[in-house]
Amino acid sequence: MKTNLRAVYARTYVRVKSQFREPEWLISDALIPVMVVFAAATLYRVSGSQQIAGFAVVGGVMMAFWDNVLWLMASQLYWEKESGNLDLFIIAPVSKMSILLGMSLGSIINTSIRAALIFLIATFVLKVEINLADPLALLLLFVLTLTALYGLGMLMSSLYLLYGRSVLNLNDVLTEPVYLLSGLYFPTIGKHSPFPAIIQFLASLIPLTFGIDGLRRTIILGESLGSLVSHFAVLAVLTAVLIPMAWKTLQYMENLGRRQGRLSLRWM
Amino acid sequence: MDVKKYLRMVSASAWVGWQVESNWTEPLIFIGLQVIRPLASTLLFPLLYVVGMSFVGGKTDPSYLTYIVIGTVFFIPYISAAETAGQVISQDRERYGVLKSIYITEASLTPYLLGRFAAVVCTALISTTSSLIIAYATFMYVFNLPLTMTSINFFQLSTAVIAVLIGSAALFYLLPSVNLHTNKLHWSLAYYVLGFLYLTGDIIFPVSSLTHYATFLTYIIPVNQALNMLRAAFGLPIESNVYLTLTTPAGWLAFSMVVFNLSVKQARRKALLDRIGWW
Repeated sequence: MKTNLRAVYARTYVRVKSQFREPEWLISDALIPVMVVFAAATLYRVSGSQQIAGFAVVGGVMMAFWDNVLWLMASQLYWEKESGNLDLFIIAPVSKMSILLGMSLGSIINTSIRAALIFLIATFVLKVEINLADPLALLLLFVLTLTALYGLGMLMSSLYLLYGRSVLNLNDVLTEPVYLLSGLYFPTIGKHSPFPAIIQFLASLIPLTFGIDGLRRTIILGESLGSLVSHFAVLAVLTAVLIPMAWKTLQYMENLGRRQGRLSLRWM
Repeated sequence: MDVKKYLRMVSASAWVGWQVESNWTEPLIFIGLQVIRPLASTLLFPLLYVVGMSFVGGKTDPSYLTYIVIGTVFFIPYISAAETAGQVISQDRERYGVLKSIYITEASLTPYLLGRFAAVVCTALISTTSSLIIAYATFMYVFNLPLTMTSINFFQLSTAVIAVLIGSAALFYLLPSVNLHTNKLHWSLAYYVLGFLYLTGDIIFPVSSLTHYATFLTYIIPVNQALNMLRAAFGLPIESNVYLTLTTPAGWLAFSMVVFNLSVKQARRKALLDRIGWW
């Protein structure tokens, strides 16, 4: 247990440290989603629905987490394989889940800083009206969303373990469709959703969907804990399913990789 | 160098580009990349408009919805060009270590990039056509939101498509010119440029709606005139000018070629063409 906790700390440390080696990149990385958020918010304004321009800001903040999950969680073990670190992870006498957990914690810390910058820049420049009535609901929802989301990241990381360079294409495939389905810039669940019920159901399997919707309701529409029970329930179920699934999948893929000798294959 | 040889070099690099863009992946992922992903990016902003109007109890304007759909569909070639151009130097120099080999061939880098761009044009053609057809069908028959594409003016359509390709080619030479001198922008540069274009390129709203001081950008940026001519080609009452539609991106392409050649010379002087492990 102690060794595993040290592995978690070590992997977290590396990730956070690498971020602060070049802090100027924090601002640089924050500016990319900000431009698209400005475009989405301007579209709300131009079309006459300026009062909900904050929806785009919340989406932009959460976009940072989704991009992080795809590129620095899901495909991380692929990068490690390419750079030769995966062999070291495999022979290290620790649970591989502790390495994934460390990666997640490091990512959450780094991306939260980036997300806060996006939020501050966007709300300041766009003069978005914040109606936060229940900070506790916001905090709980944010933590639960990230737990479920990074659970999905750990699961994807395990699934990607044996993939070659097509993981990069797979990540590209998953970027915009998830932006669309999870409702990054507009609600995709509930009465204003443009999608039929079946698509709404499928979208709700992505932790971001209920997470973003709940955050929007707390930050922009001023709703409180009582009206968000279904959001908490769905996110809790997703967390309870995704993390054990990640664990099992990682074990399976690692064993499969050992049998087939594919754990250290590169450029395939 | 004779034309035949030059074309053979371009077609060889186009073949490499096609392999990288498509054939390295499985058919399902290829469909996802070339059809589903661009379609999602096409639907994102039109649906934002629709949901926004529903939220405030307003009425969706079919003309504006069509404006956004045409803008996002025909922005796809620029996205494809920028994403590949943003990665090509990093991939060839750092990852596969072949940039130096390409550089010392008789053709060198300019026709190589032209070939890679030709591959991007092929994939973008698939993406744009499929997105246009599926988006049109989705809005008309799934969401029951009519799009006002009343007619097609083939002269304007073909002129605008040529302008889109020239503008995309300009991006395709401009981004590698920057990336030859750094290894840190290969992820972000394309998205800075695309983010800037989303704001100023008349893609989802006229740039003049940011502030009237920004109106002049519509004549400078290589995207705006082409997209507005496409809208006019599909029957939207938008002013377009053939001369500006072609000359603005052509000017950008000429500028990009000059910058690219200077950038290659400078990179050679600084010994950056084969620099690996630059972290």
